[in-house]
Order: sequence, then C-alpha cells, then structure tokens
Amino acid sequence: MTEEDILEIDDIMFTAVNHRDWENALRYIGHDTIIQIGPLGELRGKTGADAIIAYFEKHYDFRFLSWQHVVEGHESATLATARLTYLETIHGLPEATGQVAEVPVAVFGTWKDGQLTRLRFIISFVDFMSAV
Amino acid sequence: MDPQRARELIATAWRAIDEGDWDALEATGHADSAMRGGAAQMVQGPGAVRTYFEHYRENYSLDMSDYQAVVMGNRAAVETRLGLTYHTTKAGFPEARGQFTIVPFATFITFRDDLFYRTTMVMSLDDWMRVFDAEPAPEAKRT
Repeated sequence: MTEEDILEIDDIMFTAVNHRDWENALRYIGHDTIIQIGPLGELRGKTGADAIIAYFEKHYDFRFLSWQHVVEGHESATLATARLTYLETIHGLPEATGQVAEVPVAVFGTWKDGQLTRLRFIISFVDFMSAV
Repeated sequence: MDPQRARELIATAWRAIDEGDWDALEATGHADSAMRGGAAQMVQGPGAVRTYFEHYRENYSLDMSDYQAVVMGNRAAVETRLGLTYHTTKAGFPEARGQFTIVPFATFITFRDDLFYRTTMVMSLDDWMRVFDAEPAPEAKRT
C-alpha cells in the first residue's frame, strides 16, 4: 500500500462518512483495529466503530466540511473541520437546542496489510463548548 | 522541506516546550508565523507563541517527550501524548497537588523557510480537565 493509496482511501472514508455510507467508511476497519476517541475511550473493531457512530448519531448531526491529509509510510494524519449540530443533551453538558459548532478534528491512523490497525480521533471540545 | 530537517525542527520545538527554553522555541518560528489553538484562538508571531506556552507552564509541567511526527513535503502532523502535571494552583481551579494525566493532542504544521509558519493544535478539553481529579505521579516534574 503506497502513500498515494492511503491518501485516496482517506478521501473516500471522509466522503463516505458525509454520505452515511458506512460500508465504505468502515471498509478498512478490521476486527482488531484499536479506535481511540475522546468521549468514548478506547474501542475495538467494527463493533467499536458501530458504537461510535451510534453515539454521535444519537447526540449530533455531523458533517465534515473540509479535510487535509499528511501521509508518511504507514502513518496518516488528517486535520478536518466538522460541523456538529447538537441535537440530544449529553449528561453534564448544556441542554441541546440545535446549537451548531464548527469543530477541528484530528485523526491519526496506522496502516498494515491494507487495513487500519489504529485510529485516534481528537476532537476540539473547546470549540464545541464555546458554541453551546 | 527536507524530512530530516523537519523532524529536527519539531524535536527542537518540543524539547524547548518541555524544558521551558523559550529562546530556543522562539527561534523555530517564522517571523510571520501564526498558531491556532482552537477555532477562535490565534496567536501571531514567534513571540506570541512563546508567551502562550510560558503562560501554561506557570501552572503546569508539559512533558512533550512522547510524540510521533508524520512529514509530507512542507507539511507535518505530530501526535503527542502530553504528560501534564498540575503543579501550581490556578486561580478559580482546584488546588494543585502535582496531579498528572496524559493528554493526547494533535499539531498540524506548515513550514516556510525551514521554520514553523502555520500551526494548528487540536486538543480535547475533556482530556485536559481530567488532570484536576488525577493522582500525583511519583516522578512528577515540578518546575
């Protein structure tokens, strides 16, 4: 898998998320892929990915507005901007009234044998909290 | 930018933040550099970047030694597992007892003239706020 392949696949994955095309978005997630994401901790594989999708779809409408990748060898990093619409209140956070926030999101991936072995999402909740 | 030069520049800046070597940090920034700490927070110029980190170190130690850089052309991304120690009480915040936690944060860099030109940091507030309830680390650095 070349760096060009990873750049292309990263584009496909972000586009697929925006279209709720989960088959393509999760195509490169294996059973043992470790997924680290702030509010949910560390999850594993497609089951973990499904839990993350369920969590975000329950509380938000979300869409990536832009993204830019950096790839070197088997490591990839993406800086994206996501538009979050806060639809259902999360315990401990202000009441959801449809507030809209544009939030920087960082995604780091490690690739092996055509699959992601690790994904880390870092979401700037400073920007989210400023908006809600 | 030569990838090795980019890695050295990142290493110099991360070590400077780690050690509080502000002259070294300032020397890594382009005269027209800017750093975005969030969608609404922008600091401009190497002097302002220096002040930004100096301010944090009044209350926290920032162990920047655990990181991985990805370099592509004149851009780079750095995934850092920041070792955060809360050593001096910040007004309006809980008492500092040397609480320690790991805060993952991302840095995206564009280089110009072999220096930092545009930098965006992404960090989760949730991860940072955990430090106030954390236990002190036995080996916590106090500076």
